[in-house]
Amino acid sequence: MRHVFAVFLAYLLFILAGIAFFLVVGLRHL
Amino acid sequence: MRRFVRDNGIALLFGALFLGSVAAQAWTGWHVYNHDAQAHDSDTIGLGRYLISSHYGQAVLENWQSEWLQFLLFALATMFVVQKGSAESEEEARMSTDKEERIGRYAQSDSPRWAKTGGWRTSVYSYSLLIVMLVIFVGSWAGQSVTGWTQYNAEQRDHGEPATSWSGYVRSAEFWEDTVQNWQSEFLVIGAVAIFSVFLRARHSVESKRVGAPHAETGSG
Repeated sequence: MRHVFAVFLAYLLFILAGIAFFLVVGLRHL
Repeated sequence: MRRFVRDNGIALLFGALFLGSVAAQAWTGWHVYNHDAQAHDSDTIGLGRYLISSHYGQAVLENWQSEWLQFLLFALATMFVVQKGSAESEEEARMSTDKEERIGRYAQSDSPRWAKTGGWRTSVYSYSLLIVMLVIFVGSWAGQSVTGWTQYNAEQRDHGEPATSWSGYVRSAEFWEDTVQNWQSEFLVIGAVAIFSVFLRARHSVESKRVGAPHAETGSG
């Protein structure tokens, strides 16, 4: 299951990173 | 490698479709942005700069938030309401027992660790999918609000009008139009899929009842 968990983690971290990235973009008025 | 691809087929297929679409959105959004800039006699920008713009962020996140809200509400709603005959519904809305959920003393040896422990860990783990979807929904809606706010103020500046505060923006018609235009389509599809699956079939798909299943049979079986 480790190879499936790796994909799960990649999805979750990508989504959270995407949200954090655009929160910073918006708050820095870019 | 072959096993990795086979075992992760759905995640890899939709991950690839997502990356292709979000790249196409960046390319086309960049053209739209520069077209607007030229029409307003403003400076055009490079693609790299567009990728870190509120224009792009707002367009991405307003769609994200509505998808997470849709899944969250659907998961919550199916605990309390049913749709007779639907592949997407249970026969009756009732709370499942610990035995049915295989938690606490009913857990198997290979059940997830937090399903076995009981107490707060099992409570949290029991709703972990909902918790994560809620966090992502709130996060992307917040992201939509700040990128939309920044973009709104940039437009105000272009038109020689005063900037507004974030709290003013989230009470504006602009913010709510961007929000509810995404919600309406999600809610329509959820309702339609639930009722369509009573009478229509998709052979071989988990989203469907068996082709020969009676219309009155509820659940995908």
